Amino acid sequence: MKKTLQLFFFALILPGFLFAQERVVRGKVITDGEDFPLPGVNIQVKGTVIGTFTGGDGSYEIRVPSNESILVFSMIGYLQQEVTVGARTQIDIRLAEDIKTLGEVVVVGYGQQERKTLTSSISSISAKDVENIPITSPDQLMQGRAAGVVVGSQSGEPGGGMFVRVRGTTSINGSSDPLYVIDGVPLQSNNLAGTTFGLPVNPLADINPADIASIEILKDASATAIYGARAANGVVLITTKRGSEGKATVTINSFVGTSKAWRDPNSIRVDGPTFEMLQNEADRNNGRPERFPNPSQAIDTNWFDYLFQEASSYNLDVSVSGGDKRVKYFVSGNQNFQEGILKPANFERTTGRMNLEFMASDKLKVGVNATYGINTRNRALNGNAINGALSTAYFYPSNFPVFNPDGSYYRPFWENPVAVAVETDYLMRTTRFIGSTYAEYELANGLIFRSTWSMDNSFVEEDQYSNTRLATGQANNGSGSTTVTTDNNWINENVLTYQTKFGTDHDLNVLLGNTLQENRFTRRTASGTEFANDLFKNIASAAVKNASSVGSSWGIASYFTRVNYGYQGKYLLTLNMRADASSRFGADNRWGYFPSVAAAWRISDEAFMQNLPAVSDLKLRVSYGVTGNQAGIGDFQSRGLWGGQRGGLNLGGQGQPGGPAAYVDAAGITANQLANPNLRWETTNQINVGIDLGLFQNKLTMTFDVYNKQTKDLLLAVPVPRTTGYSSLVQNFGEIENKGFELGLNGNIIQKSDFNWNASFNISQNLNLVKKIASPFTTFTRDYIRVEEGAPLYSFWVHVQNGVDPETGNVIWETGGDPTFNPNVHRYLYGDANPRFVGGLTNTLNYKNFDMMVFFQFSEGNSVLNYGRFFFEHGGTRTTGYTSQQLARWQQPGDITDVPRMTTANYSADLRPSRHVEDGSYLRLKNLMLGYAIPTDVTSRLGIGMSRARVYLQAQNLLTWTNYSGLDPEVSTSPGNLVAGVDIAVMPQPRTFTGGITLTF
Amino acid sequence: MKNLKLYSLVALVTVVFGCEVLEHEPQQQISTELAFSNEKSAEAVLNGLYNEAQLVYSWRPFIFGDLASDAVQSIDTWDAFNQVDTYTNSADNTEVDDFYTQLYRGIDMANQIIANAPNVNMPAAKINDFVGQAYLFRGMFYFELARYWSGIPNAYNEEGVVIRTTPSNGINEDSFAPRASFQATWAQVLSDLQEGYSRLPEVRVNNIETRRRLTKPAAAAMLARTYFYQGNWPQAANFASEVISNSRFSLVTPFSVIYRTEFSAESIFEMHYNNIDFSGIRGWYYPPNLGGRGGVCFHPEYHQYLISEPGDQRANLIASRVFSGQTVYYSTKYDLIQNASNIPLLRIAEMHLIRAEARVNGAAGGPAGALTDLNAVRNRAGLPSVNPSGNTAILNAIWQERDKEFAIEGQRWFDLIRTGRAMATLRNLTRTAGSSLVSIPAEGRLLMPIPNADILANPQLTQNSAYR
Repeated sequence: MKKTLQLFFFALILPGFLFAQERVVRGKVITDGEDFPLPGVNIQVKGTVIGTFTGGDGSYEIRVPSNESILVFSMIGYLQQEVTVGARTQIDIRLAEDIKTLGEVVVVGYGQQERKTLTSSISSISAKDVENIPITSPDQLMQGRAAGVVVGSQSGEPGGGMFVRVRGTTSINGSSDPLYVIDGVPLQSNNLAGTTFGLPVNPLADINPADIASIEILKDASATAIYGARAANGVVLITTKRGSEGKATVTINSFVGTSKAWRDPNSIRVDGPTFEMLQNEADRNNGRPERFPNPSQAIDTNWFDYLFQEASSYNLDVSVSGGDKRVKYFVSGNQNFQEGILKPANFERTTGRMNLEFMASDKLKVGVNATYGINTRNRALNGNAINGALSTAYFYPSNFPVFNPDGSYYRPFWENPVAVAVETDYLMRTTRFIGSTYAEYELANGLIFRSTWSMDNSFVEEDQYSNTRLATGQANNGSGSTTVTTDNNWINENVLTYQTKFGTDHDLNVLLGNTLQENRFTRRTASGTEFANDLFKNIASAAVKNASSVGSSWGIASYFTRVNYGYQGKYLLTLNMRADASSRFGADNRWGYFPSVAAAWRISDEAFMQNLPAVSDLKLRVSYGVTGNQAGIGDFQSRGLWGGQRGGLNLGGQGQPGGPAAYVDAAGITANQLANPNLRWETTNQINVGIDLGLFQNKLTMTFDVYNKQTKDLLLAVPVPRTTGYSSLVQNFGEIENKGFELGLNGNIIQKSDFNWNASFNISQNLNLVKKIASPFTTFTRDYIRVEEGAPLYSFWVHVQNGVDPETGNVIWETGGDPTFNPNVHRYLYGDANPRFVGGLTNTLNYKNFDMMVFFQFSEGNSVLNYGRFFFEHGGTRTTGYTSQQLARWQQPGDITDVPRMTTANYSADLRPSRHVEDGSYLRLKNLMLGYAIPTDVTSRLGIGMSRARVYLQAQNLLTWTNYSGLDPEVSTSPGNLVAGVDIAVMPQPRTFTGGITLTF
Repeated sequence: MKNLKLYSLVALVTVVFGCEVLEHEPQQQISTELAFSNEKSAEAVLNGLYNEAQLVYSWRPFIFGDLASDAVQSIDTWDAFNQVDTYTNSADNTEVDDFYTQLYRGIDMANQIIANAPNVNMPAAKINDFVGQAYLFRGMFYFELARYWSGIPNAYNEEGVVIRTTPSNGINEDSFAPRASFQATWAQVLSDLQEGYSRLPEVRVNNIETRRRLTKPAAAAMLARTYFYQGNWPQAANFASEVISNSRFSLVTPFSVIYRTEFSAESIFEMHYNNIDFSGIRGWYYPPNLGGRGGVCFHPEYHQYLISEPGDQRANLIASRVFSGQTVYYSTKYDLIQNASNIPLLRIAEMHLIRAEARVNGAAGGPAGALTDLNAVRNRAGLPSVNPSGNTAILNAIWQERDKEFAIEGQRWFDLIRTGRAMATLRNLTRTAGSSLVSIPAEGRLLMPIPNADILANPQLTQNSAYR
């Protein structure tokens, strides 16, 4: 090592000694167009080892041997320039961005590849596109920016769960989330929150978005099959930033922001007098005495005023990167804080990252990619929880007071909404380490062996305390729980690659590898009641205590290979094969084999295309392959199991409550699961045909893909007769189809020295269809969602309403031709949560020192079940509050409306009217960003080595166009795989304004 | 050569770890074969059956009947309850589904014990006791299935329910059984109860064990109740008398002792709960500031009826609260926070009132004996004796006593059906939370729907008439 270091220093110093007598050339390198100084540009005297880099202000100094010397200026992402020195001593250079090569190298499974040689369908998002957008987790970056990817927030809660689908939902009881891989480490992406008071949280929020260099979404079987059994839902590869050769670059980025609900919650509110007036109207309609003698004198409490807040946020990123021929480093730190618009939610994250790569010898490269982060969430109780703040704010009519005269909360039922928001103590803290160390050794020319050992460890603490001002706390003299969850993964990967060219025409790239992964999960819970005082919140102080611990584990072993072959760079072939074995399946069905094949033809390289110079790139791709899924089922799903815990059975409705299977103090065991030794992988066959087209030196590019994904042997909880004592058995049964197309367009519309305009647009469609299941079944409370053959997943099952009779005000129900309406019979599928089209449009403009980014995102054709209306448009059948949709009720003959007359029959408890299934299409100006680069002469005058300074203003969710009547069409309460597009009292998306500054030294 | 070493090392690592990573065993569970491997484990399975019974009797058999009758009403948003309360049940009612599935869950556990306990290495008496408890529970669960889903003899009935007497270890053709006949269903109830009766011991090691686990008197009490439902008056009276004459059971005073003291002399069988292994009934009645949800309360008229006789100690177990500006009343029988109260499932007062009604209907003892039983229950509640004349008047007095004695214990609904009064009584009921009067629309609504999910999963099943 010592010897290596000496050599290393000697190599650095050597050129100086050798050419000390030669003359010096100085100069400055700036970008072409924006005139930014460019640090880290490599300057080499052609044909020699003499070289240097530009400094932070873009300036350089180099000794050249002679006037004939040629200087080569190069930097990744810029067009290389060669300049003969001549007699000059000052050479200033403008480097132009290399539009053509930018993004040409894409990350693929276990490697990277030039885009032009790709045979598969991969969407890429580079850091440049998504800088400084105030989001908490990287999956949000994919929304509207990657064709074929549907991304929706489950709520506006910062760090809250996301709904992500790559080319549709492939599974019913398994998971349909994509596999996330960060720098080669498959990420644990399950919600690890042990408490269920709120919506799921997003484990990807543990990753700092500012560390990300690129996100690649692998979509077709050729791209994903290398991930075999976990690839059926697509693979998202996240690559973090690396250091590059050059002087250290320090970047500081900071922004502050403020958020409010994009739609004013008051817009759907009904005030106290109106509430009483409506209740009285229902009484009159039902022939009963009016409940409220004097509605106009009713008190009016605006619950929303107590719950919503103007939320603040700030973010600070600091990174240092650089390197030389032997060492490359990127070190960063991030501090992020976001308040939720609904009290008391907030999210705070602190992360550090180090990516280090070191050439230990000419042939041996070692490195570390590691990130460590702590995030703390102050969680809101919301979503479908009936005692959530927003939920109770709707349930509590506005003629209720907040407090009793004695100062305690007014609480006629459940929980007072203000108490939920103010008194709740619900803290979640995640500590996470994701890291890998690797060694790469060149065994022979073109033959490289790489071994990686990685870890992904999460440690989650949750503390919840209900004080005595809350109902739960009051009844129990304080009630608290604490949960500690650990999730530890280790992964080992060994990959051998061989790259060669034989003859002039044949390119061959072979990859062979294996990987092992093991996961261990534990959860320890303690809870207590009867506290001496609300100041004691630890379980230690509880008089009555209860504790539990559980654990589970799984492992997966895999072998994989890939062969890329190219003939003349025109005819490309990719073969993949992966074999996976999972501990989740019985010994006989343990192994699954996942092959894929793909071919591409670069038509533009053919001789006959040379007559069409406008076509700079044209490629046809075809792929077919098999991928699998094992996620979402139990770790021991194939076995017949008896356990000391009940609740293993999935009963029809609420299910069995959890807890020990004991008879009070006598330990008991109960049957948890029927055996199915034949359980095996879910498999997806996918065919993809794509075209890549580039026109006018790729100023205009297009990518178009069509695909057909057929998933069979679904891991399906097949309903079994309940008379067996069980409700379902997980079997490989059923088929789901997803087919669709994706279109991406990118244009460098204007490219001038001081004005640039780039626009990119994508649109995609996925059609989902359940082709075979054992029997139709319903899910979600009140059976609102039904899975049935011949219909897509997420289909709503309701009583179809053909309007309201203008004469009587009664609902006209669809009866399928029957003379009378029977709610048990006349229930139909009506709309589904799958969008018909999703996409986005990004415009990036640069004018002199100004830059602007305008990003629209849309979703079209998806239905949203406004489940809140089921409760808050109750027509007088409940004593709880209304939302403004009730005001559209029928009142007198001739009224045309779909909200019926307020009578008990029209709002009966067994009705699920279709008017609550609304069009959830929307178009959103998701991001608008304006930036200004402070001129270099100003920054350099500061004399602190600053090379670049940019200030910016950003608005998120600035404008939304939608017909949806709820607070937000994008949010969805989603307690399971099978539920999407349901809205009840979920925190809406925030409209966020941020202002920030980026400094580079 | 050096490379070869490297390859071997990698291959070795892969093989060693590769085998290991696939070997994982559950940490909280064991396989079916091990569940009956020894006496201790078999005893744990038996406790597991009691655990299933705790879930069965947690609240559903009581609240369903009381909601469906004119006794209590739902003031909740939970429309599974609102449906039961307003006779608008859909076949997808999730609470009905849970109740039904939980009953069969219990039956499967009982079947496991009946099939496997005889093969466990333990004393024959113990085997007999375990199997006896399993039979009795199975009979009790079929009793619930019969009265809620199939009907009551001589009153109203449709088809029987699916009868399963073997454990489920996987899914096969036998799993898809059709509904048995109405007669076969009640015959199954009786034969299971009789099996339990013949096998179970009179007492257990101590008072708590005797009352919290099934015994011969518990089987006798269930037999009395079943014969009573069937109108087999002599047998109902015989079994009731057998329990009443047992000196371990007596009408305790004051009335509240039944609920405020665990395992009192009143209890023939008491379902045991505590604050960790709790029931659910209290939470439905008690308001939020007392740790409940408060979704269920008395119908206002029924509350008036319960408190109509001055001095009735049973009326002391009623509390009031304000709900949306109106005063509502709920029972405080089960009052321990966190639903920790025990539920006395079979108690001696019921035996007296069963025998009283049987005696009016011709069982030995006659109307005079009936009045003795009736007045024993009345006197215990702090009320004077009555002496109505004529069988109709005596019957009415007994029925009224049952209503007051068993408030929120799930008896009223079946009493109305059993005695043919349901369709006339369940008319124009007022509801605090709804603004119109509720009436039962058709006789078919005297039965619960077979869960739709079961109809879909098992093509052999037919739905009850009102839910087709």
